Amino acid sequence: MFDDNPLVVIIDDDDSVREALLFLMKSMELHAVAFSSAREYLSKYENDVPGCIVSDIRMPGTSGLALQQELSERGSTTPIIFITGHGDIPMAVEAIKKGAEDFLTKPFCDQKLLDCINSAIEKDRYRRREQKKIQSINSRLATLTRREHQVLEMVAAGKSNKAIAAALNLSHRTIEVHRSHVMEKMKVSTLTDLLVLLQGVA
Amino acid sequence: MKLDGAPYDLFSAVLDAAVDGIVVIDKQGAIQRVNQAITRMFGYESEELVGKNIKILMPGTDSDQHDNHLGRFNKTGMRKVIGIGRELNGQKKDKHCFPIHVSVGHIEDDLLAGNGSCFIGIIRDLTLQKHNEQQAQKKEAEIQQLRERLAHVARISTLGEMVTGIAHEINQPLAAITSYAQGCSRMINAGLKDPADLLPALSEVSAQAERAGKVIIGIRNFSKNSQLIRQPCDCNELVKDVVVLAELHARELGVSLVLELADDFVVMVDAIQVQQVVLNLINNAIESMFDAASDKVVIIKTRRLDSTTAEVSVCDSGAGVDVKLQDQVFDSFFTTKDSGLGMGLSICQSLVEAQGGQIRLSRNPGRGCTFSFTLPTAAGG
Repeated sequence: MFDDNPLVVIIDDDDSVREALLFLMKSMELHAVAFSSAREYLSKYENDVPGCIVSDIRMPGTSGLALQQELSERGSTTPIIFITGHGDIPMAVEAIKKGAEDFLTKPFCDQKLLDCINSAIEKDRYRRREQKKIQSINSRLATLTRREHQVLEMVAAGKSNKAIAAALNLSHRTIEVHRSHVMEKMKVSTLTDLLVLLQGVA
Repeated sequence: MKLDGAPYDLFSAVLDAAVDGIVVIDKQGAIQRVNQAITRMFGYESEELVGKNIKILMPGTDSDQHDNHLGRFNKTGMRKVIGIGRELNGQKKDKHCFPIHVSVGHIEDDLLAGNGSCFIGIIRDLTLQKHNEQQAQKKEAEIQQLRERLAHVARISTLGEMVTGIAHEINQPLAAITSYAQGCSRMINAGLKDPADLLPALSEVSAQAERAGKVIIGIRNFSKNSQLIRQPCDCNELVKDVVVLAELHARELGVSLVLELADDFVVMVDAIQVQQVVLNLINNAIESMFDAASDKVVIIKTRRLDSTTAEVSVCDSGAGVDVKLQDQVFDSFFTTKDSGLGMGLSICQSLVEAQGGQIRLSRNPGRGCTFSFTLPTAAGG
């Protein structure tokens, strides 16, 4: 679905650089939008759009570093690639320390930018896929009853039905029913699948 | 001294005591009498002059004219020198020419009991005065030259401080050009069907190259070592042109520049020097807000004060100036910066004064301060 059509967000206060980047994105057959300031982007920001950000680091008003900070506070994991001028190397280093994906010095090589963007998009795609998986597991877990939770935890801890029955002071048959409900609700058919699934949210 | 064997009377004593040269000639220009100052001044003995035409004391060019002047006056009473003073050249016995001031009076015939009307010339030697004037002019020219050289050095140093911003401003169009060119290559490699699709990108490439070129031209003009030339300039254009340079520094420090310009008017100034002052004041304003958290705005205003004066002001919301230091800011070597010679405002002041204006500093009611300077408007501007 949208995973296959990631969006490159370009943020640069310089009209010409912004337009040129949009053109380059088009030639790379990438889907891109551009903003003239970090503020403008933040006001329209949605977390569920996959892709990456290509932003100038030095801008009037909200700088690239401030943008990175604010996005991180909002829980965004969208990778940021910074483009910098000559004098901004210390700033770029700081950005990288704070988790920026990469930085390129203007004027940059298009292939390098494309590689950075592709790798950033790939990382974002992977991160989002993982997040989605966790969400789906959590939503399945949420459908379990309190008793089923208890049984699930003991199963995951490697206990036998018999041991569980004894611990919960229930019949062996009841545990078997709970256990089959758990497998059904968690949408797995084998114990191994269940354990792999649970490892994802551990 | 005796003349024509006449007794040495009070009249002669007065003539000879006069510091200026005095010469009496008749209607035809023949010298009747000279005082001692004349003989000293021109190197002739009195006897060598009496009876000769006054032209003997004039260099060739002036003497050719003299008969005409004299003839005309005698005929028409029209005055060229008579009654009025004028500066001429005298010629000594050794043919050496020197500057003199001559004033001529006319003595009517009837006053002289039928001896015929005559003229009396008072001649002052201007050699020393001219020499002093020349010396003063030379000195003034030297000072002017030094001032220009200092201003030039200051301009270069201002540009030096702005080098990061300048590099950025040239780098931006280069980055855009690179991206367009690479995009075009990609599209061609991907089997572009219609080459015309590349035209918008290509026109951007040339526009961006021009933009970089303009920055370079601006810097080159600004860094030129030129003599002061005051000519009519559009005040707003002058400010706008230099704000382009100031933007480089402003962007770097996250400061926005706001222009509040009056309706167009023309000032009589040396454009580069005034721009230097404006740039210096804007740069100071930008740097004064280095620590400010927000509202980093510099307002640049132009306005007419009256029919002969305009004012340019630069207003910041920065740290301001200590009241105690307010009077010192225009002094040489006064600085509050860690780096800096403290020459900036002192040079600004001398540049503004060279245009015939005045610069002053005032504290804003809220934060920061305002530097404003006046400039003469061009007549009819």
